[in-house]
Amino acid sequence: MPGVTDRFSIPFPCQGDAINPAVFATWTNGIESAMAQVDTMRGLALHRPAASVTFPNALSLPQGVATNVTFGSELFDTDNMVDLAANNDRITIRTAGVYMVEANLCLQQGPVTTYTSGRNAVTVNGTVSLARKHDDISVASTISGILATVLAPGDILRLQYLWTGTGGPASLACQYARLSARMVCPSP
Amino acid sequence: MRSFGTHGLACLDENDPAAVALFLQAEAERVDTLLGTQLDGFTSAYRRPTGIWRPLAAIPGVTIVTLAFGTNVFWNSANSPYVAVTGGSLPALPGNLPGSYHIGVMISTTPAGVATGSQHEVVVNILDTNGNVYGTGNDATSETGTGGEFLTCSFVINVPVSAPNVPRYISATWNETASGTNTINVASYCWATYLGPSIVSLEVS
Repeated sequence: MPGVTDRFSIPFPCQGDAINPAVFATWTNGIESAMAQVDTMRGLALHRPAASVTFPNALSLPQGVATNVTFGSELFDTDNMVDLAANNDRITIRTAGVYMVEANLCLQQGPVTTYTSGRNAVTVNGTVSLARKHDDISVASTISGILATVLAPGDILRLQYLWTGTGGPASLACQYARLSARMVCPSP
Repeated sequence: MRSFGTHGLACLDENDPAAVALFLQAEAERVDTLLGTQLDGFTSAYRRPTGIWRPLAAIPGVTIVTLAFGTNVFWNSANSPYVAVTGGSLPALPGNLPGSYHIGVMISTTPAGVATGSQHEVVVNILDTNGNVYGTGNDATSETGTGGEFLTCSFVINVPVSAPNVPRYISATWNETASGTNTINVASYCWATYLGPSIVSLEVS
């Protein structure tokens, strides 16, 4: 096979070469290899690493303490990012890249003397990366956006909530929560 | 040698039944070109143009300021004619592509004094090359004690980059009432990512 194509190096015979079944097999395998490369990239483009977890696990949020939300249900996971049996408070990154996240949390409204503020945050390895502060207990807090850092395999995303108030109670119940992450693009 | 269909695959015809080697070469080169186009398309979709920027340094408290996101955290548009953001300038939309962009900002602040009741707002504008506003997103909150504020906003906008007088810069403005003073932290950032081409159709009644 003296010739190959420019992009995928598909082998082909030239004039004067003997043509036999082995030549066709090599040529066909070359095309198969090229198609496999396209299939791989197609799979990456259509099925980005993504995961989503939801439902608090009977979670109580103490006043004045930044608390990691724990989850009880996995909505989807395309990259082995969730293992609720081992760790029910996180999404673990497996593929390096830039990620879009969404965090949603709704408090179970109860007798609060004075609800001052609540902060809904997504942390990366324990450090707040994306957050939104609000002062209305009756409104579900939702934040979404690209995280400020390029994530690496092993990085841990958590949903963290911090509320402050006076006059009690000492803690509030979480009614609903969801944390989702989806890769936007890979690292260069 | 003939070619077939919209993809132009090669085929032997009755005049050259012995030209098998030539056929195998023509077919391989045509397949190489066709699959190369597909691979480029999928690669472009997978590595969608994206940028993330932070302020160069903390911004002292003022009542209104246009934020200079001068630190380039991430930029993957190596082939874009727009250069990555440089110190003090406004971030440019990555990709130089007509279509939809998802744009957002998060502002983190530290209060510099008693600020209860102060109103805070972040406004994100997309500007064209003449500084005209093309699209806007915003978020607002009121000061709630100590601990600083976190504001976020994001929105999707269609950007006809190929048109004259095109929009292409991200400008974020911080506003607060004079009763409160916040320092804008370097943890603040803005981001933009290309979602894909969009078609603007005219409605016919």
